[in-house]
Amino acid sequence: MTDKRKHKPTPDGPGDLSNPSAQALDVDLDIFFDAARSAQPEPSPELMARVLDDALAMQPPAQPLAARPAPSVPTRSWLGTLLDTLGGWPAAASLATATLAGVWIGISPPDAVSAVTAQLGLAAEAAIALPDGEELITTYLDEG
Amino acid sequence: MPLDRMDHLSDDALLAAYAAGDQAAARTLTLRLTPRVFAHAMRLLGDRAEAEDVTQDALMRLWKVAPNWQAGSAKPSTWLFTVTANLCTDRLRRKGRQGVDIDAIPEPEDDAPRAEHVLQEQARIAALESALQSLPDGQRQAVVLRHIEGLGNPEIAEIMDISVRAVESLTARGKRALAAALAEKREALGYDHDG
Repeated sequence: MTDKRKHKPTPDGPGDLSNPSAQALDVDLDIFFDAARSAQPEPSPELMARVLDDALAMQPPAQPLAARPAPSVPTRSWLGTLLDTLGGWPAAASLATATLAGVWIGISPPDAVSAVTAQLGLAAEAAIALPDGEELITTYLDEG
Repeated sequence: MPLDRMDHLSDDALLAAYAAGDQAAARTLTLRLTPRVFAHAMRLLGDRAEAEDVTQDALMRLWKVAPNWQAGSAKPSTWLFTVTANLCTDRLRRKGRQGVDIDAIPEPEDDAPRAEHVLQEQARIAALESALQSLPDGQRQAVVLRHIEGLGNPEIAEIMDISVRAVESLTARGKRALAAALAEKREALGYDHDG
């Protein structure tokens, strides 16, 4: 620093500016300060160019896109993907419940279901008779 | 980013953009800060070639510290004024500052009123610069920062690393010394009639 001295207030300090002679002195100097402000020394174009050259030469390089860390993409497990497809855990739970209920009804149909199927004239164990696999293939080959 | 969009950014923000490699920020900072640094160096040194050297040096130091600049710690312009003042003081001390003979300033000679006014203004500027060079470093710096650069006392105190009261004291004594130095040219410079 240019001047680290701690100056004590002196008789020449700012308090003196309140007296008439100091104020008159202030007005006189303002003419010079105004003139100096209106004639700001301008740097030459050569200096501006040199400063800009320095700025660009010393500037840290811009980070290229390839060097920037790629945003991390969270990897999803097949179960997570399946859950997303179904609509999340609540939807999957509902689906599982319905599936189990269907299986249970198939294994051990309640009496009400048996009564309905009996009234339709269908045996519970042979509601739909499917041909076996060999018969299906033979039929398919015969028909071309 | 285009230059015109950078004009609204603070020096702090521009410096951060510069450090991130933005060339437009380098240009905007150069255009914004170089004239201020140069004008200040010119007023402290009174020599164009030396003021240019100091300006280039001060700004080079800013480019150097830019990557480590902590936003909000200090205004870049304040930091630059400090560096500029230190560089100027070093140069003045190295070469031993020479007193300036105010009587050597040419007096207005042209009879035309407008030309006379222009010459009178030039003579006042030259007289002020000469008188400034006759002040002790601290007084000169305080007066220039306060009355020509238009900075507030707290910022000047930060730049000069002294108390605000010390700034006030230096400014007051500097102005008294200036007035005394300029008093001898009172009639020639014509400020009895304009003030």
